[in-house]
Amino acid sequence: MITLYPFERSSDWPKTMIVMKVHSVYSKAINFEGENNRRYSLITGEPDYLPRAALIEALPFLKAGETVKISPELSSVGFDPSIDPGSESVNPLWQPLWREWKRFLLDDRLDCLLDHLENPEEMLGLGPGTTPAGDDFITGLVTAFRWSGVEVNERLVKALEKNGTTWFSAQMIRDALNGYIWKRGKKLCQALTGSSASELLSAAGRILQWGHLSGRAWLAGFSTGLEGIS
Amino acid sequence: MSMKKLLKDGPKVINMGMEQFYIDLKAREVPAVRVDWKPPLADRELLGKLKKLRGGNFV
Amino acid sequence: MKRLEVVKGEYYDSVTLMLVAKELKKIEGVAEATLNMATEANLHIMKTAGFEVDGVNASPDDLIIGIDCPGELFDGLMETARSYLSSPPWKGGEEPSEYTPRTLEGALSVLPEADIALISLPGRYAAAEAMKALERGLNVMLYSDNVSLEEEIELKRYASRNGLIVMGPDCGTVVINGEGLGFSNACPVGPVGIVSASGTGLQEVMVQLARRGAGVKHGLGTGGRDVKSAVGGISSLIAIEALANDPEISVVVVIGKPPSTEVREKLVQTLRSCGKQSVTCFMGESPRKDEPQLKYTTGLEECATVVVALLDGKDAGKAREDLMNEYLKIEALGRKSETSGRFLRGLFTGGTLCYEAESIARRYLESIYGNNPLKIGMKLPDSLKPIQNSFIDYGEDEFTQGKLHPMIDPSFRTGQLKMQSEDPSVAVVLFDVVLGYGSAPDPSSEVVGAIKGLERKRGPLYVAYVCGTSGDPQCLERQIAILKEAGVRVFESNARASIFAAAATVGRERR
Repeated sequence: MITLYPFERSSDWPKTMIVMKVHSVYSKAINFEGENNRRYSLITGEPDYLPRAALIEALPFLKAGETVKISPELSSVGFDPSIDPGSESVNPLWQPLWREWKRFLLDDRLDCLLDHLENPEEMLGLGPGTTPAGDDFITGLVTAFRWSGVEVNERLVKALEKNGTTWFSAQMIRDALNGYIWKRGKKLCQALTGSSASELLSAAGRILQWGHLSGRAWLAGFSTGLEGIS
Repeated sequence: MSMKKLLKDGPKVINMGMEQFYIDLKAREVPAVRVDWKPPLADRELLGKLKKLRGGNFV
Repeated sequence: MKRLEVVKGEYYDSVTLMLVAKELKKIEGVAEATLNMATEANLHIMKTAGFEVDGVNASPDDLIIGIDCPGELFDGLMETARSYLSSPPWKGGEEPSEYTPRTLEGALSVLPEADIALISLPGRYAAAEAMKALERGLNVMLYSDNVSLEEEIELKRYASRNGLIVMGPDCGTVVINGEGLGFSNACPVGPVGIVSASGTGLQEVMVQLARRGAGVKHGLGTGGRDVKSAVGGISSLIAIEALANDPEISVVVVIGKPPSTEVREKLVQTLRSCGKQSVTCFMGESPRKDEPQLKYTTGLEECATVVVALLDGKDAGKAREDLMNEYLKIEALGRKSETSGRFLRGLFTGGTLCYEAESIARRYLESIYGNNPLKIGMKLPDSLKPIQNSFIDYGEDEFTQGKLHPMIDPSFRTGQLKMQSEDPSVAVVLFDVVLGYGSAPDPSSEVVGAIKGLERKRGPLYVAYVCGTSGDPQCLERQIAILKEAGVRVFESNARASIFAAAATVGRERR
């Protein structure tokens, strides 16, 4: 069994050596299944940071099902995925901008979500994409609530905890419910409290580059969440 | 911004429509923002749906 | 085999449609590919090109795709067209790295100090967006055409009540503090202020000034209808006042086709009392006697010449006389030139350049047809089938609904130029090439491609004017060299090219 030594990790990465099974392999990331069915990821670029992720210089050649050891020994903490509640300090200047992100739902490929705006739990597993777009929307929505410190109602939480979508998506939603967030989302939150237009535009732009439709759906959900709060 | 202000300090441009006009302005470092505009037709549909959303009880 | 398909209710901007058509034409077996919004005018163009459009059920909001290819390829190509539309191959599939606001409000939060909205949306949406911009305190440059007269008046009245200006509709060029918006050339900044009811008219005067070393501070467009009685010159008058009050401006210029009588009177009165030297250029009017503070010109190059004389403290009358002597020499040159055929065709991308050229040609040739002729009764029944002496402005509404302006996409004019060059009765083809920001990257090469592919044994005489400066992205010198290399006679102004072309046609018509 090989041992991998990432050079940097998120703050929620275990501090001791772990043994994990390769779940899926991509060009810029490998996802592992660890204890309690949790997802862990090795990535090569810091913009792609997500909860329970570690940075490695190059991805090893691995196949799904293989088992590896990952040692945190040589790594420092490079990213904190927890959300600091801070939406009360959203710069009011940006309101017209985040409000328009809902418009992504007009996209032909996302308009299937429109019918479920009243009951977003129905979006679980719905729509196109490897992470179904409905899950991205829900993640954005929950992130907005968590960021603002608003309690997500129990009906929604219960519905989301049911096993209604892909393994990867379910992890993403669970992280959001627990107040953990992807780096791109965190950057966006920071930019929204700041006063630099170019920072905000590039933060939002980087989210759009995420997946085929994922970023759009996430932004639509996030915008819907902020609107619901304000 | 009055016309006086435009002639004194302008142009600072919001471009709606052809992207090339925006690209040409940015290339000369004229302050400009582009609006990625879509016809308003579908907007009405969305607004209808978003109205429904406000009645949602998930918060 | 020419087939078409209608895509219902989807919106794409004209640039995307042009680029998808270009990509499709690169595919082997595709003789022609065209993507247009299904306006009446576009259906007519497609019909003339041989597509079966009768009985097609489509509205102007629908996209119509026409492909000329072997029948078995059609379905596959349609599939390709659709995939290109949803993910354009020239963008490499990547989202832009910066988010682009989707609404005016969103854009304003990014640039709260914005002072002008440049609107080039389809005409039927443009007025509503312009009003929104005005309500948020923005001045408006309305590039769009196909905006109704009623909407124009409403917008301009609202602007005037609120200390703002609406430049347009159909306004292609505006210059603020030397920075061009829309179609504009790289010109120096200087003490001249221009109010123009015409886009390429403004470009030509600025270019001619630049070639004489003079610069423009503000060039304010108004749209052609502003000086008609219905609008009453609302924007023109606002603009003249503003330029008159600018201490950095020493000469105020007003350019356009002849205004209606009462608007003309208002403009002239305002200029007389503005306290500055002023020059009018109402193209095609009969010459008038200069006044001490106000000079009258009727041609674009003449206008620039007179302005430069004023700036230099020289005699405007003398400068004008010298220019006319130059023109006489060019006329003599034209009369001596050799060609076969009988008629003149003026094929233009710039509306005002077309208008000026025709008004010059009228002095030489008896009857001139056109899609927007100077003389009533000379309108061509079909703009795609010019007869005898004809001038066509390919920037007219009929050619631009849901399509790009020919200065951006010259391919349609090029096709027409080739077709008409094959007509043995055509002796001279006069055309313009307009350079600058906003214009096509290499317009001369496009025309030369058509000229070189000619099948007619002895082609017509080609006469051109290239409106641009050395600083323009396309580079003036290079564009001229490309044309000259293909045997085109290139002149230094629109007026000069027109005089030469008309003189070369004189006396041939009755052969």
